[in-house]
Amino acid sequence: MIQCAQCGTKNRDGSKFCGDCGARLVQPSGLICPMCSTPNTVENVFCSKCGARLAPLTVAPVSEKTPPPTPIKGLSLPAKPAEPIAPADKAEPRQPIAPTLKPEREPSAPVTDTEPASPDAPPGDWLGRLQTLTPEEEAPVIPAAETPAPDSEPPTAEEASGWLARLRTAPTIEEQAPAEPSLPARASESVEIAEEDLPDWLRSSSPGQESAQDAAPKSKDAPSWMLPASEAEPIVAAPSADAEMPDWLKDTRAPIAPEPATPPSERLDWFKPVAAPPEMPPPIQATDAEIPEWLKTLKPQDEPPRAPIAQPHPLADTLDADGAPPVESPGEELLQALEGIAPSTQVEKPAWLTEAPHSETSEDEYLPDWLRTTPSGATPTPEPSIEAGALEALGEVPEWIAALKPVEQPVPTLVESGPLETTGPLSGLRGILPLASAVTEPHAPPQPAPVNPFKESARLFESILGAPALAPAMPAKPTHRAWTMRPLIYLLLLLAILIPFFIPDLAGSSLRTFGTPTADLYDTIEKLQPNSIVVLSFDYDPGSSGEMDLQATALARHLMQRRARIIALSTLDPTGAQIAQRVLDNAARAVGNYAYGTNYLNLGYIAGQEAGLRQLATAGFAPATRDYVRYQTLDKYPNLGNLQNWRNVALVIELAGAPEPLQKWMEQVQPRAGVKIAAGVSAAVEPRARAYRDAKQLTALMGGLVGAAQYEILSNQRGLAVISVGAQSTAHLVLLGVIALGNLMYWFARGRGKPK
Amino acid sequence: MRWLATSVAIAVGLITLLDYFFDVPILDALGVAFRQWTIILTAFALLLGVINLLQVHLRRIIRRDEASAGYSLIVVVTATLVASAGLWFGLPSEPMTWVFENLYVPLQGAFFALVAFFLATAAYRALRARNLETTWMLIAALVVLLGQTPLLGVLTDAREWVLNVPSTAGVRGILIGVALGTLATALRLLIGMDRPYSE
Repeated sequence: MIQCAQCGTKNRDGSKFCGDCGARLVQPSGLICPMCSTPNTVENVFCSKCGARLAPLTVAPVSEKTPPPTPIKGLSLPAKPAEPIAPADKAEPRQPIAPTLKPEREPSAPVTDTEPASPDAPPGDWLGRLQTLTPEEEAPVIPAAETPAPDSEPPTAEEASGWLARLRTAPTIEEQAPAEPSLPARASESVEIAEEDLPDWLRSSSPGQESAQDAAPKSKDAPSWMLPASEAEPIVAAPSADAEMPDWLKDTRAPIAPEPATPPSERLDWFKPVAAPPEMPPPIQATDAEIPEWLKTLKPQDEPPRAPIAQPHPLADTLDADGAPPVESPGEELLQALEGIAPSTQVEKPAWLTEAPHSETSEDEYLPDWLRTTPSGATPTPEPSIEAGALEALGEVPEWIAALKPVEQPVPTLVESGPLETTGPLSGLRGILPLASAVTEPHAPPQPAPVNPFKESARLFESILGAPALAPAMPAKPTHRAWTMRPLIYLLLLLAILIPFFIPDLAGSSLRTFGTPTADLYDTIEKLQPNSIVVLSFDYDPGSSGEMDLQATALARHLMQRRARIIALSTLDPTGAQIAQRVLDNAARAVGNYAYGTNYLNLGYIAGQEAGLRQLATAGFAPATRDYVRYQTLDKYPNLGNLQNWRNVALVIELAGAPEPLQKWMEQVQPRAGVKIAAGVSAAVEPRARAYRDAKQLTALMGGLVGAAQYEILSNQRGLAVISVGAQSTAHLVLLGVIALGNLMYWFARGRGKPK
Repeated sequence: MRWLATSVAIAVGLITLLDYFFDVPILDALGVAFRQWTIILTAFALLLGVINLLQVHLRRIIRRDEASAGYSLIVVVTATLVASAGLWFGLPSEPMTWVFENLYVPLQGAFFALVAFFLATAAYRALRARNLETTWMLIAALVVLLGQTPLLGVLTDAREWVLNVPSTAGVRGILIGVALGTLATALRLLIGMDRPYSE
């Protein structure tokens, strides 16, 4: 059973994750390789599968001073109070070394105040255990016999380019005072660690101890890949003139943020590099050849020019007073590498990891190239590329070290042939920004300048105002001829109508009555028997009464003369009833001895249009029908006979001022009732009524004012119709003259080429 | 409910149509009833027309339309006066006869008489022999006008020929076309293709 370290739940053997909380389970039987998760025995230093290092490197602390428990931002690695390692036979199964050098896999743990290790301390992480390893335990971890000896000389720093090659180099800079690696949490105990207990390759890192030459003979104890670090020649910083260094690089050598003042007794060695004494030798001047290309490119972008800090750090004097000689060690570089890959977030890291000094003079030389971009706490920028050949030559490099390789990023190269900057913080550099990259960079298309709509409206309004005003289109004036012709025509027409009224019988003698349709109607009435029932339908309105009243009056008089019983009605509109009453009353007064209710009757308006006519043709005049004048039923008028049967009706005379009433009578009544129908129509309806006359649907037809005059002449009762037909004749003559004049003027103008 | 309206319309139309062709007592009775209903509805339509006329003119008066408010006021006032007189004195009566004979008939006759002057100016401008068609129309108009003028006594037979032959032919064509259109419309209504009563 595997007990979850987080929640304590017991899980089955072989489980990788806790069934309760989901936490990753560790096998109690050994160490889990951080790279391939392969279980290893507790004694394994390297993974049996992938060769990754299981136990991190460590160095013996040399400082007796306990550094202040100030949380340091940077890499978050578990910090735990050291505890004495129990004997191997009694020790509990060691907790697997879960943490690795990869910061992303390392759970963040706050840095607690360092305190002496106590037996009661719970089993901690690998860092705490590393600090408490005894020489006996540490010795087999890195056995010299297990370390495969290199067959040949390891690649030199020049051959192994990049950060990895520099990791293998253990330079010492005697002139500088680099930071001492120290383990503050176990400072007191670490001092007691005998030098021989330390790995050989770490002895050189002891501050103020051996030099690189002394460490070389003992390099057999060190891992093979670390051998070159001990055998490499120390690199001496070559001073160079500040003039050759870009300004922005000078700024990077400025002291970091001021640290709280610390008494000299509590000063730490790793603070010494921070203090830049005035007599500090000139820093390493990096020339253009030494500066990586990617660093040159990133320089103007990532590092804005800053004003150089002329004054040294306030702690410089105090720290420099008793500053210990700097000691360089490979572990220091490793720690610096750890800092370099640490995320820049505000996380805490163990105190012993904070010993990485900010050596301004040495870090440019000893730091990996990809770490050189982290001066003064700047965000580290990984090296763009590592030569593949160098990694192949370092085949024995563990994968977890290789995993530290920064991710390659395409970095625009600096154009050497660009213009030389002569002023400003970038003076001395060529080609500040590559033109190609500037062009290929994605950029938004140029946006048009915002247009103020009000300005556009104002501009449009101004253009409209500025345009030349067009003359408004004047209505076409009537020509002089047209202006004078209209009143002349009106005047002539008025005279032509009025004059015949003063000349009686102007046209009556010229009227032909024989053989006309009007004569047929006259003959039809002449053939009526006395007391015959004749229906007169007054289907015209007062507008056409001037023409139709003459016909109706002539017919009524003739019918009354023939002693016919007249039944008047109207089917067009209610006004017809009033017109009928007026016409019949006038005719009755003219004829005499002809009374309403006895000889003639007005039934008024028959509503319903076609339906009313159809109803009239079907059922005849119902007994309940009331007359227009007295509003009495038909049974009150026994002299008028039985009107319910159309057989009693001798003739129907339709007086139509419009074609529609005549058409309705022809369609709804005449076919159904089978009664004779004659019509007196206006001149405008005559052409329409001629079709019914020709089809014998109409017995007789009287048309227009001429028909009224003809009927007056035929009935020997000359009256207003004969006089009016004279006026009509003169008006016709005027119209003929007007038409002729219009055509003559048209042809005259057409002959002159100006037809109007 | 559209199917009900369509069914009623088709049934009434068919009964009325059959009443035209067959002398069946029940069809005659139904036809008479339907026609009486139609007459009543037509009378209501006249009433609705009067109400609509008053609404239109009253709306113009309320809006104080400067162009027509005055005339609308005259229409409303005169309509109210004539209707009141007709309801009070009845038809026919002396006041209503006086209004009819002295206001309505002269005004209508005067408006109709003005047509003569309009026709005179129209004849001056329109009856011109500009091309062949207008020349033929001008000749026909001159023939009818001269034959209609008893004072001259010329072209009377020519006028009768024009009115009896060409004019009647055209009128008959129009009447036949109207009859065919009426027949088609009636068939569409009877088979329910057109339903103006349900829209």
